[in-house]
Amino acid sequence: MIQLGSIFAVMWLYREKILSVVAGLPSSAEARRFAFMIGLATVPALVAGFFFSSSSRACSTAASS
Amino acid sequence: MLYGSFVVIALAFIIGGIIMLIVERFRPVPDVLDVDSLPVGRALAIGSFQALALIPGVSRSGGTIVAAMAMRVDRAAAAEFTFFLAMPTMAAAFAHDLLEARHDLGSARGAEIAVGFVMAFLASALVVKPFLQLRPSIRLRAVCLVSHRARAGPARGGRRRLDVGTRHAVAPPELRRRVLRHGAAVHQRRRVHLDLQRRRRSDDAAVRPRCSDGGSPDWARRRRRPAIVLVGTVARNVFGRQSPLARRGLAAEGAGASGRSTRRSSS
Repeated sequence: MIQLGSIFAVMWLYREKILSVVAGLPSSAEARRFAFMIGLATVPALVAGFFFSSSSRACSTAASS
Repeated sequence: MLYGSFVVIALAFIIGGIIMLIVERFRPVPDVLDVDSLPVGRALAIGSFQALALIPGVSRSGGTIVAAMAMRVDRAAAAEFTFFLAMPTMAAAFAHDLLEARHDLGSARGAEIAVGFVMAFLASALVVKPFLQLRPSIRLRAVCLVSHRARAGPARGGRRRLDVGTRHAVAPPELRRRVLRHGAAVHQRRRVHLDLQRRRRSDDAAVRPRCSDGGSPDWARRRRRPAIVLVGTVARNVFGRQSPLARRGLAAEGAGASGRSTRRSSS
């Protein structure tokens, strides 16, 4: 659960990129493409997590980077 | 059950390590140099490797970076992509954890989690940025430039021409001027050679010098070893006669034998 701390740190380091992507979502095709790519690449892990992680242990291992 | 999960973790470490060694050594020359130009198909494939991290002991970021590098994605771009990938994934994992543990979240646990949270934030904030800046250094790019000139020989027309044809061989103007000032190209070339030898394991395609025809100059080419030799080296170090494992086995046997012999002599 403490992994969220490191995620916030990464988000802080990438704040400019994240802001530019979020701000560009309505206008920029490149920003939309990037957001779509991240979303798409997350799907396999979400699906696998949904089916296989019955225990929180497995899930927290998945979160450890 | 616990023993089983230990075995899984140990196997994941060992296999993951071997895969990392192999990919590091044999990875193809990257053709995707920044995150924005990553093809959708490869993004999905990298995402599938992220799902492997559900296996205990498999590193999420390690797996995705190595997979991306094997798919011709530059190391820095792979690292950046995996960090972006982490955001939704970890948020989902966090939500899942929270749902599962919502009943035993006392105030004491709350304090523990808060401390861990803050430490994780600080550690990541300190480590991630330097890690991402492990890019080819400007110094190395500059000396690559000099080496290009050294190979090209004296340029035609009395002017020294810099071979800055490839995008990654371009040094900043200030460095370019410095390079021009120092005419000692041969000396510099020797330094590039040593530098490359030292950095061969960590270099990126971006710093690999290119000839004008697109190939690498012969002195910068990697020595490739077939995978079977690599596996053989690993096996020899683990199971061979001189390996630490075997030596320990021999030592134990020797001690046992001497013990038996002393007993026999005393009886």
